[in-house]
Amino acid sequence: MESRKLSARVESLESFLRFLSAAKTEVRYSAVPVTQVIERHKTGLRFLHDCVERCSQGENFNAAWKDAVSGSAKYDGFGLHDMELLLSFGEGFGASDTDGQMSHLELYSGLFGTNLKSARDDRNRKSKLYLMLGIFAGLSTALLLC
Amino acid sequence: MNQEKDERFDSAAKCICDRIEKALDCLPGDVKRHAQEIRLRVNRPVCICCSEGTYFLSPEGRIHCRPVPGLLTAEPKDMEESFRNLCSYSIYSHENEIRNGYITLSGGHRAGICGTAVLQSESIGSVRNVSSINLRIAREITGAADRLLERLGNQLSEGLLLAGAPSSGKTTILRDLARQLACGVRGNLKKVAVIDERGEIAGTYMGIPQNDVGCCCDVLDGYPKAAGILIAVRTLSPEVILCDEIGSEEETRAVEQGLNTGVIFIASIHAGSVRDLMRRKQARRLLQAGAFGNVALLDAAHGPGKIAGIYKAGDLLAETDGGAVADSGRNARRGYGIA
Repeated sequence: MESRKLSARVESLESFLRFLSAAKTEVRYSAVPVTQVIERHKTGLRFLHDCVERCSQGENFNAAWKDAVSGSAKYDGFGLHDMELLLSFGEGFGASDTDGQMSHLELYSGLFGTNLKSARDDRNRKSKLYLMLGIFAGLSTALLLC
Repeated sequence: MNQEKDERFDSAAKCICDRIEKALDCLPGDVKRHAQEIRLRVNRPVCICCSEGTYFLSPEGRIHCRPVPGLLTAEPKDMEESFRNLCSYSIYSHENEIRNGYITLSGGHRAGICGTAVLQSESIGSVRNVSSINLRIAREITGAADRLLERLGNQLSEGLLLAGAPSSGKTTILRDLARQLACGVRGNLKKVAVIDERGEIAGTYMGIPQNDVGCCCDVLDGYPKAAGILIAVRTLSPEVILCDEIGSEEETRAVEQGLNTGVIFIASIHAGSVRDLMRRKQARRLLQAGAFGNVALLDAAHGPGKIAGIYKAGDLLAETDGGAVADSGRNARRGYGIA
């Protein structure tokens, strides 16, 4: 279970970094509004789907992003630190001109990249440990029952 | 609470911050139907401008003719929220518009904005601390151009320049002209190209015109007018080109170039009177070039879309400086009109 959580976090961070990269292209070349950027590149991440859904129901983007991160990001496997970062990313997303947005997206690509690196380290170090712990716990229980 | 609906007003009001939108939502239906502008000024009462005058809004959605105490005022955070909402929380996607002092909204509404200019090498790079928002409600009035066409005898083959003060109904008439020409309401169908730099004529949102501009109409949404005219002439083979608020040197040159291809131009220009119009160098130049055979002056004082007079370009030029209008060759093919 814990081992799967570590893998889910890595996958979600990778997905979000892909989203940031796609967002950079959209902002620079098509200048579509933030809701459309998310709509086009929301694949895989539940909180992005949730945000689009909330926006389509008339909620403004800022509130929709906050609610979606608080409500759904944990199901994507994001940790608390990732969620804080997502919230601060949402505050600045769309709030400046193209150059400002490029810097914003660049900055958060770096920050999420660091998180991804640590998530990968965690997964590599801890997933085997959790797996072995699970196996030993299972074996111990089986022996006790016999 | 009275919550009568007016689709156009409500869609425009939706772009403002929640607190003010709630009060606007409670306005009587009659006010909503006649409202032309919603005006927000920082720390000042919210105003609704109708053709009859300006009204002030109370937090409960009641209107007052005078600025009495207890009115709903736009606080700095309301201005900030409204500005971000007007930009769909995507300031970068309205960068050029903001530089030019406006934001085009879905439904063809337009918000004029002003605040503190951020200068970048002597030109306006951006605007910060937005202090005023003028939300102009786009109204689609089917048949708005009927009176004008009747007075012109359904003849537009010589081109038409619509002159009028702000809020005199120039865009509403242009939109209806596009629809009537592109649908063949009063004669043959025409291939119409609308150069909709500010998105006010067709109100295009996500690539789809929100207003009815006819079935044979190509909309060049967001194109600068000068570039749009040349692109339309080169690629869309239009018979009629429509554009709003013409007047710069570059636009004048583009019209002159288009004129040589035989396209009919219908455009609007800001001018409160014939005198104002003839004082404008570019307008005079266009009339002299024969771009517009007729000039229709709109009368803002008697409500939007009212015609104060229709003038022949040649007569206006002769009156002002004795200049003669160039023969664009259009009089030889009067049958090209819509009748």
